[in-house]
Amino acid sequence: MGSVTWKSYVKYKFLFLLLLPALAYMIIFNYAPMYGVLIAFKDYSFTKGVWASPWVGFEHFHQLFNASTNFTRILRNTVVISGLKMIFTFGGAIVLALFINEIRSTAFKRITQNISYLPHFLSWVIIGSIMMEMLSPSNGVVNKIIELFGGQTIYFLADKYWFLSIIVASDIWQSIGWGSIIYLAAISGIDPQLYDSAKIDGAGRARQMFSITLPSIANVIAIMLILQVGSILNAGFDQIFNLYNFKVFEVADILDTYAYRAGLEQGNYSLSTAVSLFKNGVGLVLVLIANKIVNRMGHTGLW
Amino acid sequence: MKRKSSIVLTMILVFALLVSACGKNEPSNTSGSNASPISSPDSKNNQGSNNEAEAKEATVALKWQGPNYPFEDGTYAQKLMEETFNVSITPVRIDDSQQLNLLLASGDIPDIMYISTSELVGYVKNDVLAGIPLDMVKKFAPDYYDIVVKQDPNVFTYGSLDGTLYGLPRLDAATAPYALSIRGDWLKNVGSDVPKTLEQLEEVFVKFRNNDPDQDGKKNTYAMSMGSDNVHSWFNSIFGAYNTNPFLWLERDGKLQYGFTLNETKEALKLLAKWKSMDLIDPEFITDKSRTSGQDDISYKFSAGRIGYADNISYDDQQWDNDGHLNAKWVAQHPEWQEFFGDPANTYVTEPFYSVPESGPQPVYVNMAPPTGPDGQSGTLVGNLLSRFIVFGKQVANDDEKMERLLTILNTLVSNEDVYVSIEFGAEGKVWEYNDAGQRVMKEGWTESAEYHPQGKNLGTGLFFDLLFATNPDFLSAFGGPRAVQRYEKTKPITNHTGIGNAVKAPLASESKYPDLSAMLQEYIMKAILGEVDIDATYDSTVAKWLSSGGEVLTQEANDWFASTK
Amino acid sequence: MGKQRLSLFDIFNYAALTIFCLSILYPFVYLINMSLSTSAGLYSRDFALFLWPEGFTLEAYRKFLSMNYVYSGYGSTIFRTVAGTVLSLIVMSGAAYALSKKYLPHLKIYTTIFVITMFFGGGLIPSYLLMRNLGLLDNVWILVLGPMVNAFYLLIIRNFFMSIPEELEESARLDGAGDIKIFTHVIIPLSLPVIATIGLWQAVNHWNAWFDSLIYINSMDKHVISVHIRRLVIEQNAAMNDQLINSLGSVQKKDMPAPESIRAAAIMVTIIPILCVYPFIQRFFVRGVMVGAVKG
Repeated sequence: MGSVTWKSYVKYKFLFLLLLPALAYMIIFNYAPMYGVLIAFKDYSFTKGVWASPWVGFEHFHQLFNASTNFTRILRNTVVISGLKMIFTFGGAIVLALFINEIRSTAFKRITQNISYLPHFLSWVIIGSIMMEMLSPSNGVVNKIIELFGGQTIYFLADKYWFLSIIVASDIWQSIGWGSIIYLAAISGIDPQLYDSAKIDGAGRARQMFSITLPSIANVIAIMLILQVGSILNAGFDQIFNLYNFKVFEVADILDTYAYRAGLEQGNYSLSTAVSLFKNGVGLVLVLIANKIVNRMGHTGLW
Repeated sequence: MKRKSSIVLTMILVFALLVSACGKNEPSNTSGSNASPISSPDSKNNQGSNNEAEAKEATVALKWQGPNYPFEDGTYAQKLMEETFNVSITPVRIDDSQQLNLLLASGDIPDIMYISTSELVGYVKNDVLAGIPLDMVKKFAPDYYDIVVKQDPNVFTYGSLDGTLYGLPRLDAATAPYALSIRGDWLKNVGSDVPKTLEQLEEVFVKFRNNDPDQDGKKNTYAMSMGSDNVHSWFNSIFGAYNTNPFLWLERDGKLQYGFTLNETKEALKLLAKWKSMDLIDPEFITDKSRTSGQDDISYKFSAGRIGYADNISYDDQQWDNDGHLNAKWVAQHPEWQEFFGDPANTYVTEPFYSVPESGPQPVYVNMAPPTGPDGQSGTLVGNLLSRFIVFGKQVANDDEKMERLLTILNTLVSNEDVYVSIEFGAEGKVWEYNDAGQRVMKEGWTESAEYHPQGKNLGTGLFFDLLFATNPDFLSAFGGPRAVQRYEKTKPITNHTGIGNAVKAPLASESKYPDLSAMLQEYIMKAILGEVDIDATYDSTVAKWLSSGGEVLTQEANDWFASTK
Repeated sequence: MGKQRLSLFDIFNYAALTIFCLSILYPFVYLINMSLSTSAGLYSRDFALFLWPEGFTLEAYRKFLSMNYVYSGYGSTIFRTVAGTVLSLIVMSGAAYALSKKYLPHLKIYTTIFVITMFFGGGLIPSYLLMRNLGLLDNVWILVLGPMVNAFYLLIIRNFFMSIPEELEESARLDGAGDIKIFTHVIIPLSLPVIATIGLWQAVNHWNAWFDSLIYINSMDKHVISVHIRRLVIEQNAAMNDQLINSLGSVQKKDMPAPESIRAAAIMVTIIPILCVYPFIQRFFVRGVMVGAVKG
């Protein structure tokens, strides 16, 4: 048995050689420092170092799950916000790619594509301050327009439902152009003959989109979805942090904003490590489940 | 096959462990080795000059972390320090406290560091700081000792933990309560005098909202707002009229209590809720930002005429030149003032207004005393006199010569005006000169010269600048000529009222255990003002919840500390 | 083309995309205007659409270009972007190819090793200590090596490779091509769209990254441009104060750009170079790459 494996290593030495650099990189740069996760279970001290710091077991997790931190609320907000983003931003990127693909004018297509990914370069500090100004009830442009049409001014950022809508909308705005690139790349790999024969069969453009384009990029969508599911507890720290306020705290406070206030801002590395360990643990479990489902559906998942 | 897989996996893990084992010897060298590049002297710049110094006499080598690091080693200020104090200095370049943490975690501790007051406990717990015997401070830094103790007799307890002094106080002698500004033109337009009591203020506020004080025919004005990002400043003059502030420790009958737990706070909150229901408070108070955020809504709204009263703008933001943050916006909004300050001769001529003047550029804002509350009390938020700590790295504790030298340096910088000016600002004739009034002013054209850098990163003065700046009240206007006089002397009277500050000056041991405690209160206060909760029905239970989630422990620790200062 | 009628869908599509693009362009107009405004203009502006600058000065751009280390900063950024992207594409596509082969021994283990890194890492302090022990501190190569392999990207490339029909490889092998030739002449050309995409992602990440430079690099002339920009914005506040200490008064101050303007100018000056990359990437998105390769 053993010699068979060894033989297959000899047989596929080229493949193994290709794999080796990335593998060595991962072991050195990712696995070697991974003992740092222990910080979550220790009372970490600079001078003692990770190994010699005293164990405290799950104390930092207890602090996180404590009722006074409103843990259930924080978790709920995190899942709601990132769930909404998964539906709208993740879906939006696919829709945008399909829409751009349907454009016939090459010039318009290129320009649209080029513009659509611009917001990716703006940080949320910048977007946040521009949005605050635009959405201001007293002198924001949006409300000026609403007033022009005789509507009531809306204080977007101070209303729970509007706040969530703004969070999702601005996330769509910022990310779908960037997100659509991978699908456009996938679409460009589709064999044009498929479309030609569909046309001969009399398929309209809608039919072509649903029976050729989408199935052809389903594998990419599947892998992107799996990876997205893994970050369900990352609801977008920079965005929320720059836009939230105490009026909408009950829907806006997420795990990362809590970890920032309680952990990083206080130099508490143990607590912030505990939070990220919790987030990633949940993420990994969800990825395993999503992978199973995707495999059942006949697509290639992670394994 | 299964077995083979596990062998492969084991091999990989072993390899990973081997690599990480190198990481195990983290806090390797606490003494002054040059293991990390952050501390290693830039050889090309330093060696030539150093050899001579070493030949002359044995010097003390110091790894120095200060406010603004120099771009290169061997700068003017570094050399001057080295000559004056017979030491050799290696600047440590830090932009972000995370960087300092990494240095500390790798055992590469600077000899002297400049840290914020909230960081002290963490560093002490991490065992990276040197205990500084108070006797040595008295012996080697006697002037420094006198200067700080004169301003606050307890000042050395603030940087002490369990009886050991770790943090030398860096004071801000110019600390003053927030000044209050009210729009003079609005007062005139609605026919009111400068209000003195809370009732009068309310009357004026009602008129500010309803009587079209800016006379544009639109109901688009409010009385006040707040900087939502700075909790201590929230409606601080209104809470001040009840002699309280929800987020500060306050003394009551010889004991310390957290402001939120006081009945006065509840009363003030009810008044604010009433004002909100009367629509006096700008609805945007929820998201308005203070100037520390860089957004500065309050100054903008006040000068643009959206609100008529501002109580959270610090006094040196209202300097009556064109640089005070409030004044800059005021001038930008009002053409008469632009014209006035357009003449450089006028830059420092104005005094603050305490009533609306008959002549001169219009409109003006008036500086008023804080409104008095039901019991005749009043006040605004005041920051801490103690602004930062200067701390020594752990290794200094075992090196008396180093400790002595560091203390001597600090003592000289804080008490010798000539040394202070030449090290923290630069040389006479190059950077500054005396004006006709005998004041030190920046030399004409200096800011255009190639060596100029606003934070002294070319001359290296930045590394030492601000270290003890403002600790000695006599030095406040030692540099900067008429502007410094304007800033620290002429406008100072506008803050001549009670300041409400934090009674707990030292860090509390359990603070890090309950890191997010105030978020709960902030959310409640927001809801209470907006009328989303019934204050009478929910206040006491909120206090109880705060106490049970850690407030009780903190109150005990605050009082223990308080008793120890007596 | 002209013969084809515009359907209702087309009209909707064009309209929606046009509106979307306009909404994206607005913040850039806003930032350009902010970068060109004087501080006096900014502080007195009426909060409307901000469609033109308040006052006009190029001072912010001049300040930016005369900043210390601006050229070495661009040098570092360009170096890490180019070297980092090329190197990581080579390493990742190789590994992705190996992982795309079902017959690779211990495939599952290797895949797992990569997947785990997406979820668990040691955090800042252990990584710093590692770099210190590897002697990589204050070395520009740390900026290239640090983000070199990204498991997420690697798996995307792998899935693309998997979708390439096995028959193509087999027919190439029958034509006498060896392993290396198949990889470089069949697999890579067929996967150009995804490699271009990942390359773009990686390049943009490199271009924007600053935190690793801040903590791992100490020499001023090795820092990337973003680190210097952060510094410049802070310094501008101090500079405004000094201007006054200098008793120059408000006349001279009129042209002084506000820190916000400098920040806006810096954003424009850093975004524009990376924008120029995209049109080149777009070439790889032309439909039919696959077919052409198969026939050739």
